[in-house]
Amino acid sequence: MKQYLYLSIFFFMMLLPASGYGQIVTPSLDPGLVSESPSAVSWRFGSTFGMETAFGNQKDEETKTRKIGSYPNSGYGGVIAIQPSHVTGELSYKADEIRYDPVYSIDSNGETSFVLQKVNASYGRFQLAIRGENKYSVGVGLYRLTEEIGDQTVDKSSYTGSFGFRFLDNLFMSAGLEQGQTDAEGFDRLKWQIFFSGVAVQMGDPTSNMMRLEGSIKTSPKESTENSDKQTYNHKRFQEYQGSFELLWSEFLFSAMYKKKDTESAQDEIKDSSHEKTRFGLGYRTIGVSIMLYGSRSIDRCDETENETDEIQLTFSYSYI
Amino acid sequence: MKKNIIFWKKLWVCLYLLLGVTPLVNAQVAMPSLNITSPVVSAAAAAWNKISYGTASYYESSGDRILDDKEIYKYDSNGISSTVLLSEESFHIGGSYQSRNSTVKLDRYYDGEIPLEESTTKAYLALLLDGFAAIGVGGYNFEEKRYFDQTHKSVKTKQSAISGSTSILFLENFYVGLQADRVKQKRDNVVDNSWMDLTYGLAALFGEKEGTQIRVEYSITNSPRSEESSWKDEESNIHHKTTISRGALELKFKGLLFSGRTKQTVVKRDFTCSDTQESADKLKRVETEGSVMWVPQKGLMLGFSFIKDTTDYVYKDDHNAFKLNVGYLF
Repeated sequence: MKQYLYLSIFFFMMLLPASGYGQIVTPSLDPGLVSESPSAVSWRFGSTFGMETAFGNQKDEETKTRKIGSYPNSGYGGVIAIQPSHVTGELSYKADEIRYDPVYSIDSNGETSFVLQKVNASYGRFQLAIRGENKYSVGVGLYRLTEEIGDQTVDKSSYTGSFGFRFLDNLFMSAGLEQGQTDAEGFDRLKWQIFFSGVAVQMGDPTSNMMRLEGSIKTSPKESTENSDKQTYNHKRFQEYQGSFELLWSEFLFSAMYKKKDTESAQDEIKDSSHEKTRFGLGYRTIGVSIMLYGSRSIDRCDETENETDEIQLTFSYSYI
Repeated sequence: MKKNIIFWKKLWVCLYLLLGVTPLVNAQVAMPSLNITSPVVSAAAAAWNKISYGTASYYESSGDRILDDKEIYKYDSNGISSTVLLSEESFHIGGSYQSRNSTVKLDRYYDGEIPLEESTTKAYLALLLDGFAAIGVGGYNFEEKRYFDQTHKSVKTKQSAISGSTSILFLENFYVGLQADRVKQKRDNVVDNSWMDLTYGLAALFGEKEGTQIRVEYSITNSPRSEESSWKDEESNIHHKTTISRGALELKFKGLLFSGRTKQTVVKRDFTCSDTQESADKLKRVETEGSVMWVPQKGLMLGFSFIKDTTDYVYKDDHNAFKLNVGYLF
């Protein structure tokens, strides 16, 4: 029991300066979704081949006018997870994710306004984890992302290391660090770090009834770089909180997730912004074929402005143990 | 109960002595690290191992050089390293290999050296004597390419050494180690040079292998200044006085290992940058590594390390690296 006590103390010491998010501790019960932390991959139930696609639309609260075309493609992707023994590898890819990020400014009346900036992103992620004694997990991850923002191309890459452990059979804890860099045309290299940690409870049997509850937090300090014209490019300071609840009842899976991200403004005259996302999902899930349908609503806020995004996401996967 | 009190007393005395001297430190002079992907410094330290293993690591790093508050270079580096140890009762044979290649993006060269390529190969033999002392012999070969100045843009250096070392166990948990290295250096366009490095280390290990273990170690290497005068058309060669201090603090819960290590290198060397007219009399490099890995008694291991490597001189180099570690224990 002593080692659990020491581990708990160590974990909470890490939690204090850090924080985290999402499927940080355990993977979703929907095998078609990608884990957000490498050590979480260890707790998958078998191997999986999956794919997903998503569609969305955006409008601002003030005019209720759709700023962009109805239901543009917001990406398609795939995941392959192989779990031959206590080692698990997960490879995922997402292409053509089109989203419209709000860019805030102050107009001539001194009021906050925003424009939606089109971003076309493609990214790949590889995660490898090892599980020890069915209680400990250590994982590593590699992430590559390319974003086209207007005529500018931004390349991001990062490495993630995380660890987790399980005690009292059902309680899971995890913490980790993502260390990355952004190369934007014309700017010096921007290096950044994201700390994350979380706690999860998972009870039941994945072949019949199961419940999963997870809370996590993620934080990143501000970093900035500039070009020869003294223009700055920022990695903004943020904190993200996420909670998820999933219930597998026989062969039906219900999923609920809430996420809130508070981002510090890079300019004094502009207020801090926030992004809130609520997602519900329902579907058929077996050790075999799984099909899940998710609906989500996100709201971006800054001062008095609000921008709303609705999205529908579909996942299909085949798993085996 | 009394045994427990003595254990904790010993632990606190050890932590106080070791961590009070410097911040965190790393070394494998007196005993081997619990992180088997890290090559031993002294051959004798390896004799305390009771396992055979092979490991491989890959790492990537990115960094920059700041001179006068301006980024003048961008670095991208990658490298591999490997360690192997075969243990047969009290006899141990092992080795390691490390290499690093860097690409440098720049608009123009400024004063100051730039490391471009480096590799180190090490081999050693170690013998454990009656469970209380160990002796070891070994050697290493270090090669590097380095930008020196506008007329020496890629200078090759070869450095080799033969080493003798010993390590002694006392008070059940404490280890003291000593190593002497006879070093020879060959560098393009300069005369050969040689000198003797001396390394001392103190370490402690508490706990059971199957349960919780804590290991601390501190070591220091003194490398004296050595100058060889010019000869014929070859220039003189100066090895500047160098002090390396290393420390480690490691915690292992069954197979889950948390390892923190620091290595600080101080080179006494005067340098004035002609671009800024700033000068410094010593170079200080600090490498800090934090690792988490799963290291079972036998079987596959996996882990990762985050490394921060900074150099303070007239300029400042700053590298961040990520290392993937895999291995197998027999």
